[in-house]
Amino acid sequence: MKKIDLENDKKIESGFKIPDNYFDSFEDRLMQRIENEETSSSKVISIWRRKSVWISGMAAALIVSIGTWMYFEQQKNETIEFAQDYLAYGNEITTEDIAKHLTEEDLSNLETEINNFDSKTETYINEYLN
Amino acid sequence: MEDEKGFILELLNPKTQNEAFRKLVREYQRPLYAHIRNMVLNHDDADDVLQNTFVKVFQNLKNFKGESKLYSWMYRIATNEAINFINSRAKKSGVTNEELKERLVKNLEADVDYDGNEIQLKLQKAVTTLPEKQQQVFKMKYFEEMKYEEISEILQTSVGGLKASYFHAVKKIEEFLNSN
Repeated sequence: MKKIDLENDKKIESGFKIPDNYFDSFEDRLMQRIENEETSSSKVISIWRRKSVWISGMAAALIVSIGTWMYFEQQKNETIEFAQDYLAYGNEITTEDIAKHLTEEDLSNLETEINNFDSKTETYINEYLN
Repeated sequence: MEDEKGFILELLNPKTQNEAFRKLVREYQRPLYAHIRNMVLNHDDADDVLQNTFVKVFQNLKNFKGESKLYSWMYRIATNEAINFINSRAKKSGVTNEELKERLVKNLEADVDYDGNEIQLKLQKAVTTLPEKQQQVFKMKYFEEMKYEEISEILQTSVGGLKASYFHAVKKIEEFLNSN
């Protein structure tokens, strides 16, 4: 049997058949598909745009909620901090300031209590503080 | 294609784009089909890949920089689409690319769109035994009768490298055909 020589023998064709009229309709089928894909991609964009409005709205609402919450939290913290600072460092409270918040009765009771030191306390004061 | 720059401008102009693209399809559908069919072997698959190729060409016209010729750019897209098709088909079937190609060649025996004789079928089998690059070069040179310069532009490989690949491919195929 003669040896096959691809370079010098008659060309061996691939053997593929193409269905009749395939190329007659290919161009129109392709253009139809491109048109469909263009339409569907623009639909996708419009759905996405509608979605994006929703997403933006929700994001804005969330930011406002978080902002409001943080504002009140900060206010609360400031009030507590103010009270703490006032108690810790507020050394300008005078007897008059306290007296303003007490009734006449409170004041007389307080006076009585101060004057009624028990004997032990009196001894202690006399021994150690004088 | 004569006056390629002028034709590319027509392809990019929305007013003339549709007609220019149809002209492009008419001119390249047959050679691109042959190129793809040689890679995927089956007609229906070749039809799918050819459509995908032209859709990609259409969608990417605005990105075509004109650094290479229009035809070599389209051939590159067609080659990539065919390779991607084979890769994803092999992955889906859980086989290697080589196993898939062997299977595709075997399927030709019962394919209504294949009327190759014994030696033609044997040649297809022989081609699948080659390394990927040699298969590519052999098909483009032998079946599609392209010039080395054209293949070089499409595959972006030196002409010298292509000649060496083709030489080795021919030797291996002749060995296969003469020993089987």
